[in-house]
Amino acid sequence: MNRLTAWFVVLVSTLTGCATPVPVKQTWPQAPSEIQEPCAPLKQLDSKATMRDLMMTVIDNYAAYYHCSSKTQTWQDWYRAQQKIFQEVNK
Amino acid sequence: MLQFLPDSLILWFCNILLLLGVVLTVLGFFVHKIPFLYQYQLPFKIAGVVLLVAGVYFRGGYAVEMVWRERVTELEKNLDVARQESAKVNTVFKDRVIYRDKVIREQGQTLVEYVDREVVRTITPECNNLPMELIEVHNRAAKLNEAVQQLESKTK
Repeated sequence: MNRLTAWFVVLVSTLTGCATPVPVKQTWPQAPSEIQEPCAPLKQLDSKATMRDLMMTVIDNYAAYYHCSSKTQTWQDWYRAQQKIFQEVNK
Repeated sequence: MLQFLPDSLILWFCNILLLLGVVLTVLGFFVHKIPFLYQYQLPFKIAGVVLLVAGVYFRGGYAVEMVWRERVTELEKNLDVARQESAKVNTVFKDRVIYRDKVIREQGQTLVEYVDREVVRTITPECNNLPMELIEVHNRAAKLNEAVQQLESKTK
């Protein structure tokens, strides 16, 4: 009787482990490659630069800043939007 | 492992075990009245109780398993919806950054054309000789981040 009980306990313990469900994995999404590009470095003037060169460099540098600013802003908005979606799943 | 077995098979197994347990336990109480079987009263009782306990245990386990499966299905459904929404969000932001880049490039180009068309001819030769201090200050301002990069490379 004792041996039978022992076998029964072993059998039940073994089968209990089988009831563990397969975990479902939630992965963080990949950001668009367009916003992952690094910001361009600012341009510099050479020693013989003219007034036109100065204006062109300033225009280019402002454009580079706004490109970078747009990417950073998009990164922040993208993160907030994805975080909201990510958190909705587990509610 | 139970996930790979069909629901009906598990349910059938649990029900048969439970039913067999009930039948054997009941038989265990009356078997002494049946000829030829009266000497098996104790084995009937033991087997009946063991099967009944196992049946109840597995029936409970089955119910828990079903609850988990339901939760997993619901979570997978939610994840599918989230993946679709996430892909939509990615498209929106990708389009937004491309559109903004295009507008900035066009505006810059318009300004460059304006400078070449209207401003360059107003620049006098004296104005064209930029002082070295101006160029130096401009270049130093453009390299403001170098100090940060140097500090970071030192700490690495």
